[in-house]
Amino acid sequence: MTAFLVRRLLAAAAVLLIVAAVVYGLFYLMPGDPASLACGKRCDAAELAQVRQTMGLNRPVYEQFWTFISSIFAGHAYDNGVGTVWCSAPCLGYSFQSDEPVTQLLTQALPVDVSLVAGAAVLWLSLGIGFGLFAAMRPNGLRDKATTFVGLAFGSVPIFILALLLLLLFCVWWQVLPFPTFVPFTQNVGQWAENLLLPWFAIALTFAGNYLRLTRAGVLEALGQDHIRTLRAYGYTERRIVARHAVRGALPTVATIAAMDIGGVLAGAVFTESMFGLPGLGKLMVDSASTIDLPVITGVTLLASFLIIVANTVADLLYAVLDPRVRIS
Amino acid sequence: MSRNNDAQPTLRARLWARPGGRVALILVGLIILIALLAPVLTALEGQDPNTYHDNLLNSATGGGPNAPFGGISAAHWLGIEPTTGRDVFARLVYGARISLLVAAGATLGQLLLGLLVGLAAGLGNRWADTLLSRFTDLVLSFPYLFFSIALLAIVPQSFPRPVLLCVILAGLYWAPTARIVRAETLVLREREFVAAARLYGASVWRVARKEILPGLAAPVVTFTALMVPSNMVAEAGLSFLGLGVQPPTPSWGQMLSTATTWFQTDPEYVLVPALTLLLCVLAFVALGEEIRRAVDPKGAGR
Repeated sequence: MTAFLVRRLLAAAAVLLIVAAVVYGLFYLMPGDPASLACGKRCDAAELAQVRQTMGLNRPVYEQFWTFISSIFAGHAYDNGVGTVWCSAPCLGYSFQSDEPVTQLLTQALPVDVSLVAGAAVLWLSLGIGFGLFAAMRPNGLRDKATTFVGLAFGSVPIFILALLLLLLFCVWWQVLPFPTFVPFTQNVGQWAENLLLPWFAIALTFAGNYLRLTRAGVLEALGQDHIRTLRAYGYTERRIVARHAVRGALPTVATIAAMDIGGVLAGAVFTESMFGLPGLGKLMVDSASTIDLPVITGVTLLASFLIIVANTVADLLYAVLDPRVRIS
Repeated sequence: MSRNNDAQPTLRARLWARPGGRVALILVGLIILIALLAPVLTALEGQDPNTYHDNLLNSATGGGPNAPFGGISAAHWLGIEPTTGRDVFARLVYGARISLLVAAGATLGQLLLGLLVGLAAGLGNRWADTLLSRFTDLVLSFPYLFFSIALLAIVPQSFPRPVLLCVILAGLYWAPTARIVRAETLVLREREFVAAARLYGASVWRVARKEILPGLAAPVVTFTALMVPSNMVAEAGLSFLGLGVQPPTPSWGQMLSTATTWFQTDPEYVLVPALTLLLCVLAFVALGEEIRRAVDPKGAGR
């Protein structure tokens, strides 16, 4: 198990380094001058040269990349035109447009995504597994077909359309919920949940169908196995067999996919955040894309990659823990 | 597929034999027809997608339509756009063209790249296989939505957006196809008819084209059919974020993003593009599902 763990972690670190190089290379070597993009229209020629100097754009590419990577671990000093700013340890660059270190912008956005994923994951897992068991109880029966169809239909709805319709129904027509704004968990738990209810449902409804299918398939596969036949022979009820024993057959896959999806949402639910106006990583990405704030774009993309790669690694490890056969390969 | 075994009905015939398949085929056909006939349809209505109708707008509501229900009338079948007064129906049918074009272009790109990389990995030597498979895995672990947003932001606006969307979507999402193609190719290359072709001195290129490719049709068509709606959603989503298709080119996603500011006063303008996009996506998803079941009747019950 240790060897497997070490191998997976090393692979994840390698992928992350390559992604960092690609992101950095792509965004800093693109046609168009990063310096003039970074300081916007306010810059004259002298200031531009200054920014180019601060960003280190007159040095060789590998040196720039090395500075970028090393400042993640050691921090870096930036000259923002007024004075020198120290960008401390996990430093992902400095946004000259908003005069803030990128890391600070990211840490401001991350709590939104943590809140989003916490509620949504609970919802989609309970909906997906619950209805999956319900559907597996009598395979190919009417309620199986109905739930599978509804799950697939919701899964095919683009999330921004679902969000839009939810907003229209609950906030405009019935007016039972407020237009979502982000209230931090630490400030007021009730308002936090009330505001996030619609975003949670928007994410959960689009994801749940997939979990329904996975749970159903896993349970049906397990139901064909010998130990279940033995339990049937003991005279256990179908409900008990499905809910207590066959459900274990679905567990490894569901847990693995859940880990990956949680990583995906944590990395920024771009459409959900834009539609509901939540200031998370996805919104930060879109906003900095529209102002072409390169350091922030690079930072968010890197953090998103990091979260997704971590989630994929966790998913692999989870699978190996839950299904020992995997470890051998 | 039908070339080798004429006894089996074609995919279209098998689809048509299923009630669900028939509905999906008709719906998708209708959508394509509407997109093709956009100029005819708007001419019938007597409107075009780019003319402003300021006289129909109410400056008191900040430019909302004068008439109720989003300004639906005999002249404007689906109402008019707030603040500009452009005809919603005309923009909708012209938007269908962009939506379908980008979806088709991106899917085609993904298919070609996936086939190329997958076949090369499946038929090449061990080195090529390892290299290409690792590369595929790497691309799969990219957060492709973030990459597309970033690339759309960086590439200059002078580059035509629909083409850029196709290139980006294809360039970032060919990896799943490549994986499927590689896996199927590894199975097919061990078959006798491939060995026979090799013995006759057929080149690798010929083997790939004449022996492997027909065998790939079923799994690849099934997967690719479902890529079409997901590319359609991607285009609409990126245009919704303001990064995809730029005005004045009409696009559903971009209509949606202007609509969000008119929630309270003009819900009709929100619903029209939202439901149109929804219907199209569901039609293509249904077609994809039906193709999957028609190609693989054993798995139909699942």
